[in-house]
Amino acid sequence: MVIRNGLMASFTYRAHMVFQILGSVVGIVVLWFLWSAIYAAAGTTTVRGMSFGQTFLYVGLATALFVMMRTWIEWDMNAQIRTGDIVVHFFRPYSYTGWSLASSLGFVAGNLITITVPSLVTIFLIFHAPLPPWINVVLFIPALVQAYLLSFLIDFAVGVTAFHTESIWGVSASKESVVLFLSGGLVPLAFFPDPMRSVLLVLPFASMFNTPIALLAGGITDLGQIAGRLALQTFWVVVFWLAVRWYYRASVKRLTVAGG
Amino acid sequence: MKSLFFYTRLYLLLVGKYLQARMQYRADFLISTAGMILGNVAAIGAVWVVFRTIPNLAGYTYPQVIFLYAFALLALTPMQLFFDNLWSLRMATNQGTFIKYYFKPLPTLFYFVSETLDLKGFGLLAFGLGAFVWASGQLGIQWTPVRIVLLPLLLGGGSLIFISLMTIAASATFWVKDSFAILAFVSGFRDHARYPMGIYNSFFQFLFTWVVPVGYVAYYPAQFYLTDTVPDWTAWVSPLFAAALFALAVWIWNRGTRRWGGTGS
Repeated sequence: MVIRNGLMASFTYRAHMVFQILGSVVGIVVLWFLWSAIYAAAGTTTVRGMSFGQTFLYVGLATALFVMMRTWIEWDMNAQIRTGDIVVHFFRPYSYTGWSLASSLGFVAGNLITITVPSLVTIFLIFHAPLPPWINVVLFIPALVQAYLLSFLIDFAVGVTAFHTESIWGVSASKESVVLFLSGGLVPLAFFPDPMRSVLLVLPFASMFNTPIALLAGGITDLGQIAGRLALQTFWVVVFWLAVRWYYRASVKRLTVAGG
Repeated sequence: MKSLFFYTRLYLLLVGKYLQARMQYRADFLISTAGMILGNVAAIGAVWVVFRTIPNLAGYTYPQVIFLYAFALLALTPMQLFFDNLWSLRMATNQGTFIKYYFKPLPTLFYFVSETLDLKGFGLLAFGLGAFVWASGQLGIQWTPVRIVLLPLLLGGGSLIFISLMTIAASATFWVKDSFAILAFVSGFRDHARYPMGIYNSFFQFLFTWVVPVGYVAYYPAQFYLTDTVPDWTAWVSPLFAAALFALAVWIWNRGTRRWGGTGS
């Protein structure tokens, strides 16, 4: 039900959808030119062990995943906390976190149809990106789910900051930049200088973009390595879940709603 | 036509009221500025990482690419500072509050945008200036009197190009229900204006020169500083082009405001 509502909301305006699709297609074409120029400048077929096809697939997927996981849930929370409407959820027999997750999932479904799928079609059909081995495609699904959970938990934490500060815009924008850069969402982690890359691979950010994307873009093929990356994802999801739950409970205690 | 002095005084008055209201959220200002700057740190970080593996991009060295980036950032700052209210136009028209702008003997566009001065823009300005000075130093740009005199003109032209595009995009709300996606679409071209034009094929170069002319925001005018030869016409026309585009934007805005008929309540 809640998922369906979120989905319907993202379909309300057709012009909105057309421009969103157009925007992501132009974005991907620009990425193609940019990385073509980078590979032309490098003068070799592979840079840091990645072919142009792999890199382009990587950055294209990163953009597609980024827009898919961007569900603006922190803004919904901000509005509910600001107006006090959030209390309605306290009287209902479900957890607010679960409710937020469900409505964010609805948005993910909408994004998937309007943004992610057209992007993927553009990448694979028009630009002939190489297809990964099937085992990677299968394992991509749990990796994507865990990446999304992590992204949701971080967004939820940003939403909770609305209990403490007026500036959710600043917190949200900072989060976006830090996550995109450190997760290899802007430039594949393979391009980073060595000591930096080793550190970034262990940090939670890599679990959000680099892990699922590397599965499809062929960065990792060894099964043991894949299992390790998936386990690391699970570890970070659990850590963030515990941290966010604690943060949320501590913050709710501060809440006083006018006229309550 | 009232004098420039009149409008300046009025602008300061209106913006002053807005700032007074914002002053209660001082933490918001700091965190938002940090957020704005971090976005640019990440973008420059990405350029830095890429340049660990290549010597140049379409013939542009690392400091040249940073120079382009900084030029674009400085040109885009006025949009952020003075025209940020365009993003909320769709709320004002959909909820009907836009009607109040008709009741003053002032151009509606002027009245509407002078209600906010986005303080986050000052963070951009500081960061852009820093990057600009750094890249100029690295490139050893000769600051001849001509280059100095042209700089505000070229930056102003670049600014006005983007402001006009965003004004046109926001005006779409007078015809369609929600212009957010159109605004976001046009706003996305901001990022494409930062790369050397040489990376694009002729179709996209044409697109960025004539259709969505973001090439004039930074790339074309920056040629004055990146080459020592006299650049071709594209570098010269940006201020003229900007003035023409702004006139078009104001015309579309005015058509839109005449067309919009309130919410019926």
